[in-house]
Amino acid sequence: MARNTVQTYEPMAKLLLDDEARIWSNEVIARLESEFDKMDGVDTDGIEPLVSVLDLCNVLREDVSEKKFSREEVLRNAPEEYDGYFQVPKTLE
Amino acid sequence: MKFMMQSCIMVAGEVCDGGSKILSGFKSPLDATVYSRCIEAGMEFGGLLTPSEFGMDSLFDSNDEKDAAITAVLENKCDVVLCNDVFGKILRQAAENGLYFLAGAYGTVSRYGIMQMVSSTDRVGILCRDLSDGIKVLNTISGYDELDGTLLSQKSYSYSAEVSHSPVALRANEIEMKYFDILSAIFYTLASAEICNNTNRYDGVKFGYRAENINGIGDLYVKSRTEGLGKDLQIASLVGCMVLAKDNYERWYDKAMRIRRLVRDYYTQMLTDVDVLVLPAFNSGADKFEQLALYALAPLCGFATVSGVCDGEAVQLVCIHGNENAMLAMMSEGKI
Repeated sequence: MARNTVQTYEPMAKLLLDDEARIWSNEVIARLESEFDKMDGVDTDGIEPLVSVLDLCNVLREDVSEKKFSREEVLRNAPEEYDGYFQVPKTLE
Repeated sequence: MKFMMQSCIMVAGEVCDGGSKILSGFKSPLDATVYSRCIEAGMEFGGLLTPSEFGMDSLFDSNDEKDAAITAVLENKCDVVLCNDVFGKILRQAAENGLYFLAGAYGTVSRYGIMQMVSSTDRVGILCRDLSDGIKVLNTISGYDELDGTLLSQKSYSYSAEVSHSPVALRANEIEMKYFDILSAIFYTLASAEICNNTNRYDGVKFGYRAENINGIGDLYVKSRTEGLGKDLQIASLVGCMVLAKDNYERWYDKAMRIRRLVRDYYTQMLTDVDVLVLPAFNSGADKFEQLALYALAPLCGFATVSGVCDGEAVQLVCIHGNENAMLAMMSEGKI
């Protein structure tokens, strides 16, 4: 039986699956658990994690303000906008 | 030369939905660098194609519908298609259909304007009928871009299929393919975590699909994402949360990053001694998750690849950055 289930992670992923999707997803998760557990067999003592294949670090640009997009351009794709702002349901009680 | 792109590569003013309902109607405010460079080089733009959702493949079902990019090249709608091939679908289908799919080493092609999925492995690749077209386009799109902070500093590249020596190749069955049995696990652990983070932005607030009949801000996020994201993206997001969760982080995500270093070091050493590693382009006896191992090696290590039919076999040629010409020469000559 799988140690993890999708129901545990739905709130983190901001998802709410129906029963059919949960059944399928839990089957996938059960398979993936056994696949991921295979990594236990590799000795990684003294090995640093590899975050990027390139030896780049802290690539910065000059601290200069740039205006890439106008307010109008930024709001162009908004599902709802009001008075130049993105409109969403109330966030505070 | 005429080029098309998957709609996960952005063009200003065009609807770029990445093949996902969550971005229905989204009009890009910017041009991807790869697009700008192709236009500046005088190439004709033939339009955007709908990919599998954000370029992902369905790893957990048997559906293997021909990608729109493959169909476009086969039907001569264009000469090349620029793609973000997240899980190897284009690489595999290119070789299956007598086409070529060419991807430069990580850090050589700008990802500015590409809808991010697996940031540490994503590479814009070129699907083509004629390999010389693919090489020309790779030379056009590769090189330093100040808009992408993950690039090597070289300003431009001049790849070709001409080398002064006969390329030396190793086949997968001639060597110890260390870690191969867990490559799918390593790749999917890391990929799902990065996909989970990169797709958090799709929440119905600033752009894209917003669900109706919502009851508060939390409901907006959950309903918009549940209704807007496809099942492959949903499972990747959930698994990403799972591998990053406190109880699993060290055992899976941290472990995968450490094994990634071992994989990178082992295969880089191997490919320093020869020009090219030859892998099968697909394994018809395995399901798509198992086949992910064939695709995963190059992106995990940042290698360049080209897939296609070479010497009568559907193969993927892999090389370290710097050996691309030898790899291209081998594929071009059609002789391993």
